[in-house]
Parts: sequence; C-alpha cells; structure tokens
Amino acid sequence: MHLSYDILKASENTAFDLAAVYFKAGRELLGSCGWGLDQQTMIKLCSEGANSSLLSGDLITMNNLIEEVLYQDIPVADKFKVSVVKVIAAYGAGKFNEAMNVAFDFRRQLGLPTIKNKPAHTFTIIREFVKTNHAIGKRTAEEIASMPPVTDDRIIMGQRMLELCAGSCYQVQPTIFPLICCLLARTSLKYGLDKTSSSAFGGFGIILVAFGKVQEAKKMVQVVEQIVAKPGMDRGKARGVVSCEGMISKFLFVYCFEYYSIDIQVYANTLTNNFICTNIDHWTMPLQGTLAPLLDGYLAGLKSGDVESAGNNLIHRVCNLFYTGRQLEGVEHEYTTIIEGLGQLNQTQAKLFCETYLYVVKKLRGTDIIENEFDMNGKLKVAAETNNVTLAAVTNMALVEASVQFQEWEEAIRLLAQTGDLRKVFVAEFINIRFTFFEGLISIQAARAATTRREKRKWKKRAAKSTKIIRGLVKKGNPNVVHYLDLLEAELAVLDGKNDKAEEKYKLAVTVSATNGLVQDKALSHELASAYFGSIGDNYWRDYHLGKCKECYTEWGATAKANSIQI
Amino acid sequence: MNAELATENVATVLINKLNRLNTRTQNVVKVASCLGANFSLSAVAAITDNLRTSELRRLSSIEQMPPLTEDDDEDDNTTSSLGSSLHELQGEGLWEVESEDADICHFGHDKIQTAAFELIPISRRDTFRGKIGSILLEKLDDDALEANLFEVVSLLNCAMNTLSDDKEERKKLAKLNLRAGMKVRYCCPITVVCNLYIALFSTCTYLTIY
Repeated sequence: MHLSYDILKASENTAFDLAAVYFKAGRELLGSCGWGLDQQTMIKLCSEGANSSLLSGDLITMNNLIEEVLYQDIPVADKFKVSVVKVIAAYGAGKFNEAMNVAFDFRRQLGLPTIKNKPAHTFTIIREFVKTNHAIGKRTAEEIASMPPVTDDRIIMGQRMLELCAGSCYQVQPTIFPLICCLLARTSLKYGLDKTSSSAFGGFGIILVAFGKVQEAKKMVQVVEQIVAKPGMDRGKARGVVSCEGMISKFLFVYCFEYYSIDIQVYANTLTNNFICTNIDHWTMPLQGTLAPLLDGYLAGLKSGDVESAGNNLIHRVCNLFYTGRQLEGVEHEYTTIIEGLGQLNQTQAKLFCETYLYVVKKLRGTDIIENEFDMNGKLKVAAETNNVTLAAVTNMALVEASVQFQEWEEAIRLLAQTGDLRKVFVAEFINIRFTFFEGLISIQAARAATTRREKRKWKKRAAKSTKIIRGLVKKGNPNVVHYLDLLEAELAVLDGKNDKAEEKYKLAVTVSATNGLVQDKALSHELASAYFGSIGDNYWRDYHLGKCKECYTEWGATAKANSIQI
Repeated sequence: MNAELATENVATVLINKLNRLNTRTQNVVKVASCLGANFSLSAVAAITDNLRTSELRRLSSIEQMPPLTEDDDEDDNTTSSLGSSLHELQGEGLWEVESEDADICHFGHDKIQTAAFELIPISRRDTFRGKIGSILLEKLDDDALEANLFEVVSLLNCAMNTLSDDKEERKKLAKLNLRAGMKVRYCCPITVVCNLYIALFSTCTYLTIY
C-alpha cells in the first residue's frame, strides 16, 4: 500500500523542524503528567526533541527540553542524551569552557576519572603519552582493532563525553587535548572498542605526530581504518537492543540512526576522514589528496546526523583548500557556500574560522569587502574575551598570510611578535607548517631590517629554528614543504651573502612549487627572487621574476595582488 | 483546463462540480482528499469499508450538501461501488490513475484536492482525519505502517485535541509520534545540509578540471 506524504513535500521545513513537531506532539499527548505516566517515552521525546531543536536553530525550546530532563530525579544515564546536546550546543556557540565543564561533570556523575579544566604541565603530557604508548606496547594494528567491543554503558557514555570535549579543549585549553586523546585511547585499550575508538586512536595518532612519530601515527591510522572496516562492530548488540525496544533503547548511547539501517561506518568514517586527512596524511601525501576525502567525510557526517563532525570536515577542507593553489574564484565560491551552510547548521565557531580564510581570498582577489564584513579585530577581541586561542590563532594567521602575500613585511613582523608560537595551537595541522614557513620568512625580513646586531641575531636564530623544523619534515618525506625549505634556504643564503647558493635555491623553489601545482608559492618564490636580484642591481632578472610573479598571481586569480605589481 | 481553473473562482467552481457528484462518490473523494494529492485506491477502499455509514452520513451534514440518498446504505461501500465512483471521477477529469501503478491515483489538480477537503464540515474535519488515521493504524501491517508512518501519525494528530483521557491511547499515540520523529530526523533527506553538499559538489567540479 502506498500513500503520499504531501505535507512533507510541501513543507519548507527541514527534517529537523518536522521531527521537532512530532516530538512536541508526543509530549503534549502525555501532558504535564507525562513523567509519571511514561518516563522512558518522555526522556526520549525530550532528548530527541532537544537534538532536533538544536539542529533547527530553536535554541529556546532546546534549552527548555534539556532543563526539563536534567531537573528530573532519574538515573544519570537517562540524562546522557540531553547532556550530549548541551555540550554540542555550547561548542557550536563557542562556549568551549561550558562545553568542557558539562562533559567533565557528566563523567564525574558517572564515577569516571576526569581531567581538570586547567593548563596541563608538559611533564603531565609526556607522562600520559608514555603511559599510553606503554599500554599499546607491541600490539599490532590488527591486534588492537580486533579487541572485543566494550560492554559497560558507563564507559561508552564517558568516552563519548571525552570525545566531545576534545573539540572544545582544542580551542581554549589545548594543553589538555593530549591528555584527552591519551585517556580515550587507554580506556579503549582497557575496556574494548566502541564508536569512539576511531576518535581515540585517531586522536592518539595526532599526539604521535606532535611528538614527531609519524610512522607510529600511521599505525594508528591503520587501527582506525580496521576498526571502521570491521563488519558489524557492536552493531549486533546495538541493533538487537534497539529493535527489541522499538525505538531508541534505554541504552541512550545507541544512536537511533542505526535502527534505520544507516551504516555505523558512515558515522565512524566522518571522524576517521577528519583525523586522517587533516592531521596525519598531509605529512606524507600531497595536500591536494586530502580534499576529496574531507568532502566525503562531510557528507558522511550529514548522513549520520553528526553535524559537528561534518562541520569539522568542512573547516579542515577550508584550511587545506587555501594552500593547494586552486583557482581563487572557485575557492571563494566554495567558502561562501560553506559559510552559509555552517550558519544553517548553527556551527557558529566553524563559520568564524572559515570567514577568516574568505577574508584573505577576497583581499587577494580584490573582491569588494562590505564594511565590517570581516571584522578581524572584532574576532580577535571575541577570542580574547572568551579565551578562544584557536579563533585568535586562525585570525592572526589569516592576517599574517595576507601581509606576506602583499609583502607588507613591517605589518607581518608586528603580527608575528603579537601572535607568539602558533604551533602550540595548531598541534598537527597543515597550518602549523605554514606558520613555521612564514615565521622563517618574516624572521629573515626582520633580521634584514634590524638596527642592532643583537636584534639581528635574535631574528636570524628564529629563522634558523623554523628552517630546521621544515628541514626535518622534508627529511621525513613530507612532499608539501620541499619548496618551503628551498625558499627559506635561499633567503637565509641572501642574508649570509651567499649569492650563488641563493640563486640556486630560488630556482629550486620555483621549480618544485610549479611541479606540485602550488601556483601561489611559485608566485611568492618569483617575488622574493625578484627582490633579491633587485637588491644586487641585476635589473634583468629582477624584472623577469617580477613578470613571472605577476603571471602566477593572475593565474591563481589573485587579481588585486597581481594589479599591485608594477613592472 | 488548468488555465481556466487558475482563477479566483476556481474553488467555487470545483465545489459546485463536486456537489453534483453522486453522494457515494463525494464520500470517496473526501476520504481521498485527506490522504494527499497522491493516494492509494486500496487505502481509500480500506477506509470507506471501515467507516460506518453514520460517520459518512455526518460528513454530509452541511447545508449545501444534499442528504444521502436512500441507496446509500452499508452495502454500497464495496469495491464495486468504489469502482463506479472511480469511473465517475475519472470521467469528470477530477482524478487520474498512475500509468505505472493502477493502485495509485492523483487529483487532476491540487485545487481539486482542496475543494474536496472543503466538502467536509469544518467541525468534523479533525475527527474525520483522526478516524481515517485510526483505521489505517488498525488495518496496516507492520511494513505498511512503517512505510506510511508520517501520514498515519499526522492524521491521528489531527484529532489530538478531541482525544479522550484514555491514558493508554495517549501513550500509544505519543510513542507513534516519537517513532515518526525519529524516522524523519534520521532517515529523511536533510534538506538544508544536502543542498549545501550539492552546492559544494557543483563548486568542486573546477577541482577536477584543474
């Protein structure tokens, strides 16, 4: 028998709005006595209603529903789902400390060990890292991935809360991010696998990268891939329980989409893609290769209803996309689309991050920027007020990028002094390397402009340190930074008066960036080479490189920058 | 025909036309109007078979409707009488049978569905839709109910305010609403985000060209 559902077709509402209507109707039917009449149904109606209200942007209803459940004298496990919504909502609104406190508090109520929301000492980080490494021991990826599923609901809920915390602490308390990753991984090793295990081992992979252990990190990638690929990982139990209960079961950790045959892998893939592509693969594969998986990860997030992970995939795609040398017109269009979409998904923070990149793209292209469209100072102010170090770092990085691209070195030096070491914020992302590269270039310019020997030595030392980091990455096989090293070595050679070496390295920087299709870096190499030849009075090569530089910027679509170059 | 109907008097014209139909056919079209622009003949048959004559009679209690004729007894609510009504409706161009599936019909125009729905007395619309929902809930097997969950729950919800204080009945409908909410939340295309993906995907074509 077939009936149509014209109400749905005709409605302008999203699925979230429609779902919220049903949940509301259910609550009204049970009335004010609902909690006494059918407590479990009320919990589900309120929890799912809160979730749908969050996604449809009805935050007042969401808060009311959350408070209604939290107010009840019911077991803490029954409050899990609304607590998850509360954490996600706080994260989306940029209230990272609140998100972390709710999650940590929930773990405390579960009687699980938790982490203090305060900066972690380096010693503590190393200790946790060593403990986790020790817990992994000599186990192979296959052995880890073949561990049995976790059976304790309390652990599963606690793991989910930790997983949710990771996003927030990455923003405001980055030093405890490693602690969370380590605890997630060790708990998985101790109690078995669940849906957070891909995050757990992916997260520990990030920490391994941060400790320079790329090969071990790749082992974690294998673990994640094998966990995700396992047929029916905890699906049997999840489906069995849910099917018996008819709807979401009393085990609220079981996501009800499983009941409707949406593959559990879809959910896990979202996180996996995110971790692998942004934090691990760019160390050993061309950056361009991360773009398609990140888009797939985004779609996987949508399919599974995990908009937070979907948003994270988008953020990282936005970051990586900028550095791949794609034509800026298309990039601007994509950024605009993404920002609009993130707004619809109520991912406010993700939207703010993406706007910083759009700002740089528009500036390079010369697209009209409406007054106050990108209030970068306002973003920095918000970041300072909310202790949001990531927002501050991304905003500063965008300003640094624009300054370097436009060769505004004085401004770049000022910004570098202001931002400090952004590597601590961008633990294992590509933007970390980009910052290091720019730090080296800016430091060399600062050394040139220095008026005292001491100052010159200080900046030169910093440039040497950046170059050393990049050189280390090249030695470990990162294909995305070879031309960075060539350019830094060329600039350092100029500083040291080694002109032959400088010319050779400029040439290499141009060739390698061209080979990798990184037209913006090719343009930068030409521009710096032109400045060098100008400084030694070789006007022929100066003009040659400047002409090539202009060509590259034009090809990239950086019209405003290309127009600013006078030959 | 569509051009003619697209006037401000279209509703009046259609209501007059529907009023001229056999009463039995009017009842069929009223039931169909509650099911949507597209509907299943077997669903209409199941509902009309299970609606008591008194319930159908109450539907005709508005002044402009002619009273049910003497031959409108329970025996008329049969498949054969449905067949004759279908024939009459098709003859009048009010609805059409889908070419791919003879069980599926659709109104010739959405205004016809609206006009047919307006034939139901305002005071009885919610109760009537609730009754249709109850019949479907009772008659549909598990698979069919799952397939038509939104329609059934929406129809039942129409009569929510007239529901008795029977706690079990309310609990049952509340659980159905939960089930429908879960289904729409986790299964239906998420319009906004999917549109975004499509937009993104289209913008990404330049990546392959690059």
